[in-house]
Amino acid sequence: MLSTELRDAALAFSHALREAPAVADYVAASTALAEDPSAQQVMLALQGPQASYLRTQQAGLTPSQEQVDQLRRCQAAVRANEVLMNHLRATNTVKKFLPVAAREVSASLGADYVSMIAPPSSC
Amino acid sequence: MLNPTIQAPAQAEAGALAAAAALGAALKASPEFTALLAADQAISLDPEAEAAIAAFDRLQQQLRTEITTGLLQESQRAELAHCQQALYAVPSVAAYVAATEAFEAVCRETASIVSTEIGMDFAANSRSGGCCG
Repeated sequence: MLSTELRDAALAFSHALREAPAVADYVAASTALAEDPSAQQVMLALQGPQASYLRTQQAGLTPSQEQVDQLRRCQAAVRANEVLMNHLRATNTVKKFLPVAAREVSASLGADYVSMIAPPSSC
Repeated sequence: MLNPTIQAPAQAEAGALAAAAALGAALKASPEFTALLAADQAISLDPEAEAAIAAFDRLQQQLRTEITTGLLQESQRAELAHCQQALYAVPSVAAYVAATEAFEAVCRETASIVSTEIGMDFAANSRSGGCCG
């Protein structure tokens, strides 16, 4: 169980992170996506054609023109969806910022915090 | 005067990095980290541990090709496991392994709090370039 000092420090870090633009934008974009069933549907519609295309490629075969066209249509629908694109952009941005913040923990600790928090099975 | 709409995000980011540094300092002050440093020091002063570590490293070097290509034979796998068991049987090494696991558990707990608060897996997304990057 964590000491009060560590719990407080982790919570203070979390709250400060939530105020950082990268994380705040990600939280807002995730909320918008969670509240938009049509955007979720567009994302779900991409998964089937994407999986079918990959399965065909992995089997050493060339995807049919119909598979290619269907995948492109779904990808175009994703690109045209503002909620999905906002979420994608926000996810990319937060994934660049979190390693920077974690490196700051490591620098202060004097040890590799990122390795310490990696799940046991992680490479 | 600076434009507040530009200044505020930069301040928020700086605040997050300052809080990150404070978390690092709190971890450094924890009894688990102190114990890990002591265990590390004990290993460096223990000739039995040094010999066992050197023997394990030598064997790993010898079998590097087989390990990286996944072509270890059963006898080589057994030899490696035996050498690792011998290493972990050295008291100072066992204490170091235990201290590392204890500190990692503390670090993972802090990361778990962060993940819950930001709604994203902090550990998985803290590594630059993805899992193996």
